[in-house]
Amino acid sequence: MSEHGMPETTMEDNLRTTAAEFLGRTPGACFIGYEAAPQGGTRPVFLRSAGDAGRLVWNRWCYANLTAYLPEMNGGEGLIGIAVKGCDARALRELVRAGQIERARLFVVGLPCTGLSALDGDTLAGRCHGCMYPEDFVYDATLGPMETPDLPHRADVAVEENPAGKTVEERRRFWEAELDRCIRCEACRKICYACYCPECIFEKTDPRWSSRRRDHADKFFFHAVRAMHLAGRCIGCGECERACPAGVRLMLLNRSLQRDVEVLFGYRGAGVDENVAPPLTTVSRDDPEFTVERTSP
Amino acid sequence: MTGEPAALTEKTREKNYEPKVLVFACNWCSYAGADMAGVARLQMPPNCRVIRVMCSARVRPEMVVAALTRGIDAVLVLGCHPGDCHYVEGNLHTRRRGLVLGGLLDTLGLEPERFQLRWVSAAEGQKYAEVIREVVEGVAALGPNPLGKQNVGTRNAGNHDGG
Amino acid sequence: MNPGCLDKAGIEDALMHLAASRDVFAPVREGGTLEFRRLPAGGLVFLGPEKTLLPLKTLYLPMTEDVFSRCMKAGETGMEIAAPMERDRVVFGALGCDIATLHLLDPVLLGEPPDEAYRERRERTAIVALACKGEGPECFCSSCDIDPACPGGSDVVLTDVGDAFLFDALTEKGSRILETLDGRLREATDDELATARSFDSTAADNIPLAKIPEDFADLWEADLWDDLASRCIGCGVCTLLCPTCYCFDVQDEQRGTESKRFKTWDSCMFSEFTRMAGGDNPRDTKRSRVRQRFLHKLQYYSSEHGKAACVGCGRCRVHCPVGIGIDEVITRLARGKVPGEVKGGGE
Repeated sequence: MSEHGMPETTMEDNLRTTAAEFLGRTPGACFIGYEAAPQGGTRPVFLRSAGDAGRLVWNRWCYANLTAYLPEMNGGEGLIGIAVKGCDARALRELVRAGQIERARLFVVGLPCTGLSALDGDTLAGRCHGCMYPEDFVYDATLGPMETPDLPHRADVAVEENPAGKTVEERRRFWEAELDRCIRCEACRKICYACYCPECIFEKTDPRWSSRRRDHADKFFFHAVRAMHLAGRCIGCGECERACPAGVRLMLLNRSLQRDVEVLFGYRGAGVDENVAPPLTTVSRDDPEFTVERTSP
Repeated sequence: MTGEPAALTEKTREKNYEPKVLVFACNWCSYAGADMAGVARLQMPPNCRVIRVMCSARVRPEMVVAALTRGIDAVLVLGCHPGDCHYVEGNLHTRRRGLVLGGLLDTLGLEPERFQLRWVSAAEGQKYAEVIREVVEGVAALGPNPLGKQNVGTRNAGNHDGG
Repeated sequence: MNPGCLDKAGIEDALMHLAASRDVFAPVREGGTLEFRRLPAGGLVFLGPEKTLLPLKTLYLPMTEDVFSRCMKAGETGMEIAAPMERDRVVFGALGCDIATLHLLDPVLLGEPPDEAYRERRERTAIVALACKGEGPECFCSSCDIDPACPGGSDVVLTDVGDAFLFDALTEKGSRILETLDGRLREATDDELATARSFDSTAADNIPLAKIPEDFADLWEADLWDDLASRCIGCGVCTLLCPTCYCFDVQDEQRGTESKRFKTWDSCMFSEFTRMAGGDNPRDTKRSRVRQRFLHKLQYYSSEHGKAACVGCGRCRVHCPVGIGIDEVITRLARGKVPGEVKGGGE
């Protein structure tokens, strides 16, 4: 309560008002945000009427990257309101410039996220280390200043984060054990914003690139190829790891690739800088030469 | 290609192991170089299967990974020297992709020698033969590709009861 | 004379003793997940009211199962049919929800003609159930006519009575297991017996399965499907972890000089599930697939076999990345018989 005895409006209240106003003045629109899940935490919600805006929430458990829903809606009708955290806004920039959704159809509400909670407690979620907001991103509304918060830097955690091991043999055994848990559900692929191909290579049956044989070679193929297709496009939102029912530590792989493109091509991250193209869509005559000598991860 | 056997170390002789190496060679430079090596009857190990592509950039990462997970012991991608690509920049794309793929395979615990990218021009028959010899010998010394082993990690797979 | 009891300290030893004469499976915690593994396995055996990630059905209808393999190497050409089971099996620590699914899979997989591999596993596997109270927030087995404290379909029921497990044989097969353990079991105390008798289910029993309309035509156009489909990402985790799902694909794959034909779990939630040669796909929208999944579980199956294909384990709800659970769907379907009823509803 403020000193005047009136309840102060929270960011959540502002979000609800903003969404309600948007839905009220835009017939045929929908608003994608978070609502409380009956089993605890939050889940995505699609609102179609201003009266439902009260269902929206904004808290430290708003994990989902809602932009992942947009490519499917491309080419449809009606405006789409969407709530985005800093990381999600980077994904949005990537989607717009890949032609996966028209910016003109979107009403983007920026959520000034200062870090999410870990799934199993109150500490900072692992995915939030190395948080980076997009630079010069144009939101249609914000609930506060959209600036990268002061959270532990990726570089600080990256060095300790090598459970896989220093030798090739150690890493081979680590990933054999880690991928053994994978049940080939491909939830990681389905939840990823960057996996928007209308016909994914893993869905093709003619030719069939990948069966669901579920032995190590099959899982290696799936995870290695998916990681390659994401190289330079992963925003580090960690949704793949959260969606995985078996707890495979996919972010180890994705972060390793992100470090590689940073070291090799100076690429700071997907969606950060509007003026820098994703690394695997461009070339340079000054790229390092290919060699079998590897620097340790 | 005429052959002499791949260099056999103690380890590989025991296992009776002959590496299978898959080579992608671009039409304009490296395939022509391979042809030149053949015409000149240069001695090379017979362990390679060569696939001609119009440009090394045609090779997608999934082709490399598919080969490595289906019984191939090493994949070698050959292209024109940077600056000489028939399609101007194709090999620069190949180089970028190769750098990232190489790093990824290394992270996942695959020996770096099992995926290589080299530049061989149409006039470099000698170099082609040297590259082939070097790669095959190197891979022979490593032993068979562990990814090619059948039914590794079949806790959930194969002829069983799921346990 | 009171039933036999085994002190917890002696469990692992007893399991290994059984393993001399048959394959023993038990929940094992390894790398953060709990799964049924054949003993001995790395990791700790865990006998408690916690569901394994993959349901018991995995031991009867494996995720991937070879049918045959062919070798095409010179001098070695030939074909090898997948080997049959070698030894009888016993599963320890199965929970009521998982066991009940076997009775839902039997009408499908033991119909004419029966799936031989499944049939053999059913006949040659003894089940030692663990009595459970259905305490998980996701549990609603009691709404599905399942008593987790005394699971039907088991051969022996273990009840945790503190420092020991009470062993209660329910069938001939079960008695034989106890005979093998003879000498390791002691008589239960009266206190222990009382503890066992006081096991009661606390699982939610108010999920209105019975109130789902019988005629699916009433539900075909419900807005509920749009609501779910907009959130659903089509990952299929619900179907892969669901104890009652049984759809599988048959694929051929060649690696080097060997090729295998194998059965592998498939999912109706995958977009390519109903894709046919030529590219036509009768269920090519997410909405149609979401609708099909729930109508199959809750209506088509029950029209044919008399019971809905749901055991209230709640795995779908726990693991769905976007918070869809079949309990919520049942509640919403049961509430109204007219399309459009659920518009804007969200509880």
